[in-house]
Amino acid sequence: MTKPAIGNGMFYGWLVVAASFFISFLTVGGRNGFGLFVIPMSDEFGWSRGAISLAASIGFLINGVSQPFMGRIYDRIGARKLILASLVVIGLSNLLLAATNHIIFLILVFGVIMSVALSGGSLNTAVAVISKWFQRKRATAVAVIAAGAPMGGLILVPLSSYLIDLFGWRTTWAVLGLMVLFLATPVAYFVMRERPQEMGLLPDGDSEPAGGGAGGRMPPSKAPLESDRWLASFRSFPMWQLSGAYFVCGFTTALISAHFVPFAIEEGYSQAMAAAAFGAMSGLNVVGVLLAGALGDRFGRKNLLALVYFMRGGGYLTLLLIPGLLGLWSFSLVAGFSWIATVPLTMALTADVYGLRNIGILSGIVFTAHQIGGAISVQLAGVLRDVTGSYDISLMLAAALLLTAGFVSLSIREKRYSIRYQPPPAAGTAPQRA
Amino acid sequence: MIPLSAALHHGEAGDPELLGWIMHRLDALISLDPATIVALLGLAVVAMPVAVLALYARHKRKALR
Repeated sequence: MTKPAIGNGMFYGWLVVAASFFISFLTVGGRNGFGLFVIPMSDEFGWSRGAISLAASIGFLINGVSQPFMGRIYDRIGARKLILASLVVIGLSNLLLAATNHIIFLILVFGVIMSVALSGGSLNTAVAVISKWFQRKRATAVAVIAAGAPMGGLILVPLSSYLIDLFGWRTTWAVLGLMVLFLATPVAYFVMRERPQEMGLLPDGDSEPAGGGAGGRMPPSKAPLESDRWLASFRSFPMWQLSGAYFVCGFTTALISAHFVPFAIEEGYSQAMAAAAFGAMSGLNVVGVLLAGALGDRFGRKNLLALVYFMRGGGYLTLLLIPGLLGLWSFSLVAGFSWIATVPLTMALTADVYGLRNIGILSGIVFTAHQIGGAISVQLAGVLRDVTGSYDISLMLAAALLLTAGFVSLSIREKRYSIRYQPPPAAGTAPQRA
Repeated sequence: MIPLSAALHHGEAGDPELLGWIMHRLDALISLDPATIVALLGLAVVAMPVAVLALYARHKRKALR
């Protein structure tokens, strides 16, 4: 067995995590700033904001729908080729956006091409490859990558805003594209490796094949519900439980993100206070997701996942029941911790239960459920607001769905279906394909 | 209503109005000129891949020994 570590004693898998974190940081964070381009582009071309936002809406849907297809491609060709190709397309798309002169061009490049490419270089692809590098510390590793997205938002959104102020929106698109091409692509090219076995290593940096038990080492056997055919996963409960709960995750995050401004205006919050509360919530995302990852590896995934949904549900209830700033800040603090905490727990549990053979397409399907939930909630909340004159029913619905998602998560039979809880294989049994 | 954001969750575009509010708030909190902020944030972005590639180079060097 070769050395399990890189120079300073660190397992090479953590370098793959660092590379994935940066890719997520740059691609997802850069995309979060699209809203900043709306006003200057609208001013220059005279396009309505609705027309420009159509590009974002189409992108939202295409990104969700294309995930399973990209997951399938990942399962066939592996992560490195897919991520590299996606990064090149994302970088070139950003450069093309600098030359935007027609709304159709914007919709095509941002809404379609870039959104499909983002699916290829997405969190799902990174999660799929990281699941091969980590078993015992899977949730922690996924959490670090997931934290790259809000970190990217926190840094790249202000950077893009100031770049637009200083140099204009075209130069800013070009800078974002060059960063993807010349910073993220080399990192992916040099660092990404499909699986530890390529380098003579074992998952988690173990120096010998491992024994069993959640607290100890992972059994090198097949996951309990792992199958050659990905469709077979729909014949078991966990797939529906995980997708259903993640649908609620998408429903409740998109609801507040899309309707926060009109809600804040309606409730009479000042712009400064609303911005501070939302900004604080975004910052807490990072803390929450890292905490969820670490705790998920230590105490199991499904109970923690349920707790996260209950917490977020509680956040929505405070928004409904506690008037004024106290309600807003309570929501920001409680919901902030839970906002992205679902990602490592859901993704790690999917890999634990269904194994690695079809992890790309399965995590893509779970993610699609999330995006469908998001798309439905944004439309539904708008309609309910128009009909009833307030967001109360939408918030109540969100709270009720979150409590349901919590109970659904609790009902997942993790000890029966997760590889973490399976007994070690008998001596002489063939090791798991990673 | 056309959705424009599900900010900071899975790579969706942020609401332009909300981003405007947040940027306004940041401007009020940070009293540096925009060029300095761009330089500092740009440096932070570049430092990440440099650090990752430096660790990779170190690993590669050790593996070749």
